[in-house]
Amino acid sequence: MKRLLLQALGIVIISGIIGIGANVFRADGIPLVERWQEKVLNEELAAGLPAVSLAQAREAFASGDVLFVDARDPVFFQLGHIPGAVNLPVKDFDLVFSELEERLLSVGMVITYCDGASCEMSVELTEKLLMAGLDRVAVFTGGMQQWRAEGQPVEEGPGSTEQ
Amino acid sequence: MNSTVEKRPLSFWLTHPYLVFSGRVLLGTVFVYASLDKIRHPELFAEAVYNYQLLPEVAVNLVAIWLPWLELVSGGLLLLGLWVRGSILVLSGLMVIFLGSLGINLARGLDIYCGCFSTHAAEPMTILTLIRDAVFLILALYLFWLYQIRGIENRFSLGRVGRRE
Repeated sequence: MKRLLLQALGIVIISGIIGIGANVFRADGIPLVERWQEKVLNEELAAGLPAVSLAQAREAFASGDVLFVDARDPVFFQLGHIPGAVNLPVKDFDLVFSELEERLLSVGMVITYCDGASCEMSVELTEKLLMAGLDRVAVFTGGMQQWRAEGQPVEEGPGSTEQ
Repeated sequence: MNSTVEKRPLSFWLTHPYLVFSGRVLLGTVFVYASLDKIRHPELFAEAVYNYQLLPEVAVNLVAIWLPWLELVSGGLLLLGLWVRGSILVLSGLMVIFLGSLGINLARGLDIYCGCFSTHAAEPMTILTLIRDAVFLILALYLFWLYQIRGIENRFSLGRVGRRE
């Protein structure tokens, strides 16, 4: 029994050493730790999902003909969101979308966001909105983190659901 | 049919050296083969691991770097007949983990690629994948039973070469 466990442990350790060693020396080795969420998000954006920068988001905000849609959970939305934004948590999309559909269709442009570059919810929400038939949708990848960092106005509370 | 054949108990056939050897070669080959494409394409395999959405972000690449070598080393040792019991234990453990991961994601309805034998697309994950892996797990447990519980002799082993007589 002891021999069995020692052999198994030996195999586990030896493979780990070979694996990490080979990874260090090979040209196409990968980092030991990688920020996957961010990476996948960037890949999706690179694949052609419409995105806006902070400057574009600010401009759209000033123009007024845009509806910001917050993809986070209501708790985070209430702690602070872009003024005038509506909350459409991506996990409750089917439930909440119908309530907001008319309003989303009536505006010139919809911009989605979540926390920032490391969250995927806004990208998912954008994909869902595009699939639901909205055509003028873009994702603000900087999200609340960038919005706050640049000193942009933030609104707290449940926000308005009226038109 | 030969009457002596019919009289043999099932355990005779289950522990027959040729059957045991075939089982060892089959399981070893499966794992060695499964490791090769993953070792060749570490980044694609890491993405497949990430897509399973079972591991914390920090563990994804470490598992992607280590797992294929674990498959290769234990599969290779099993083929060579060295550290057979340890290899079987590792491979059984891996099969349990693979089955669990597949089962969870099938239940979740996640539409991802298996990444079992190939890091490229076109290897969808279905209930058949689950059945296939269950067969490999049964094979691994059968070998474990033979070597660890029945304590059969390790024949056709590289470790025996030169030790005859």
